[in-house]
Amino acid sequence: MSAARRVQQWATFGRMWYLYDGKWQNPLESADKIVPYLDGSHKPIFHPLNDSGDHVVVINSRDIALPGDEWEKRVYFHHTGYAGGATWTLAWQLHEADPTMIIRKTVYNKLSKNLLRRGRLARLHIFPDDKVPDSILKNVSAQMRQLRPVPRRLDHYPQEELENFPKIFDWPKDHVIN
Amino acid sequence: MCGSHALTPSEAGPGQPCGAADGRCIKGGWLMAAKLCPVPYKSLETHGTTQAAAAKHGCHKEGSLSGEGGRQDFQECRHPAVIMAAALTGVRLVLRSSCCTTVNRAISSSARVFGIKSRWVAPLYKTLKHRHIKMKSLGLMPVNKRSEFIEWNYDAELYAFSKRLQEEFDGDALREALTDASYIAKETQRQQELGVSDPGLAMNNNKELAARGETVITEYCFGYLRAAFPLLPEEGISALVEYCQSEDVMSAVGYGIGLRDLVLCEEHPPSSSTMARCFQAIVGVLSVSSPAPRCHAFVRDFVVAQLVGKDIDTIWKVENPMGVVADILHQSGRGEPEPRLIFQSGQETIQAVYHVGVYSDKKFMGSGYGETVETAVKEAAHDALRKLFQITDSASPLPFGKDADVVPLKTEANISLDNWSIDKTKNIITC
Repeated sequence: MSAARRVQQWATFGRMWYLYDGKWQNPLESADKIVPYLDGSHKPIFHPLNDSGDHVVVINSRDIALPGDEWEKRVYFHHTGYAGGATWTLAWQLHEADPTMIIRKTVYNKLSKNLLRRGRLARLHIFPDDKVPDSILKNVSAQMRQLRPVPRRLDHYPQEELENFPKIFDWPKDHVIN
Repeated sequence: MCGSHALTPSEAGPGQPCGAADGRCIKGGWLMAAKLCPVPYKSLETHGTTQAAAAKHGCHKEGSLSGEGGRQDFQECRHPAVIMAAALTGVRLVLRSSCCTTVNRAISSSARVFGIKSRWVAPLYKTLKHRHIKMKSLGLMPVNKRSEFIEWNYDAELYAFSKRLQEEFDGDALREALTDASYIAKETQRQQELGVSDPGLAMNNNKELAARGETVITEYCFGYLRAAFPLLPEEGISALVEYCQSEDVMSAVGYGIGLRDLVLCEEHPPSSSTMARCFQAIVGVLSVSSPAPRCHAFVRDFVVAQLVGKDIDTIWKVENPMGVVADILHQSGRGEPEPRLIFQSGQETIQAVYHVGVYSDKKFMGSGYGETVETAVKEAAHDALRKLFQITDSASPLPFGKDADVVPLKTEANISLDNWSIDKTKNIITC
């Protein structure tokens, strides 16, 4: 095999590192997007016996957004194995205990159920905020598009921009908005 | 007994044990034995005992077949009727022997009569096969030349050889091409040992023809490859021709066209150097007996075709690719080659991938990958050279067949690597 062929293969099977910002993203829909990257089925060279999965680094997992009343209604079940060992934890409780757990569990449930599942999950790196260690951030080579744009609240705008925004009329000085 | 021919005991007379008109029965064994026996078949059926049949024949004492004495008598009396009778009563003997303390070995004989191979046959074949494989792996098995077989006809083989290749060879020259010097020496020595003082072997070896063939191959390969790769430097063309002329390629082609059994040489199978020489001699013969275009087509189809699917990089290795790119760019009046990182992934892991591009005056020259930046830069320079010389994977394939007949052979050398520049290639027509 010539050197050119060797490095061609090296590049073909090289692992990508994707960055995904979980802020204001639905973890259930995000998992659908992340899973093909972890098992490599988004690649044209994909084969079930082919180890071609990529790494995904999820940041801001503390700021994920569950739809509707899922925070109160979604329940995570766990059983210790002993009698009376069953627990039912609400999503908001689990999220308080570990802000990476909801997205990890969701992705784990959506990965295909075989012996490769744990290894694929090990390529998912979740961080509750945007503080990522350099050893991981240096590897990142691409970014995944967010599913929906992060909404911008009124208090996120700088005061200057708010003041300069064109208005139809001025409020009376003694009017209390909030 | 014999199911294919219905027969009642009353119909069967002496010497006609079976109902078939010609007295032959396909089912062999039992009834053939009965046919040979002068004792009437009927009597065998009616009496139904071995003792009775044997007693009638007069070579057996009544009741002596049982036990040890019976076996002895059986060996002494080889009459077919007795054998058949022993077979018939085989089952009874088993029953009896199970009661006796002594083992009755006559049962294996009856198994032979029934057509059952005994238990030693399969193990014997297994052992023989095992020995065969072992001797083969140790190289102890004599390899028989095809010419040692009794129906070997060398003339017919030579005729068939030329017909297979659809070429017209001069008969005597073809014999000469297939005769190695070692064969003549060996034959002379053999005849002298047999007492022939002057063997008078009117044979020539293939040295001259091989030299002639080598020249033909070299000339054609140079002309063809220069035309096929007009931008490849002359050094690369030389390396390709050298590869085509190498002993490995020549002998592989020789084996491929079936010279193995036709070559007259001392060793068997012929060594690769002998085979290479013979193939070159075959080309030499063809150049004598056929017009040049036909000989060229032969060389193209058998020798040049070995380059198909090969990487030119592996045959012609450029040691310092970045230096060569820099020289070429300098001679072309372009800017220095500048390697730039296009992409990287997994920098902190052992599976790091780097993609580097080579640019000159902000123009893309080529790109390469690697597990380190240095490797990627080297590969990028190689890729830039491949692009310049037009030997990339997407380059047009080597012309064969009708396409090749149109291509005029190029006698003047390509540009050498030292003088290679982009400006000089502008007037070169590429196919």
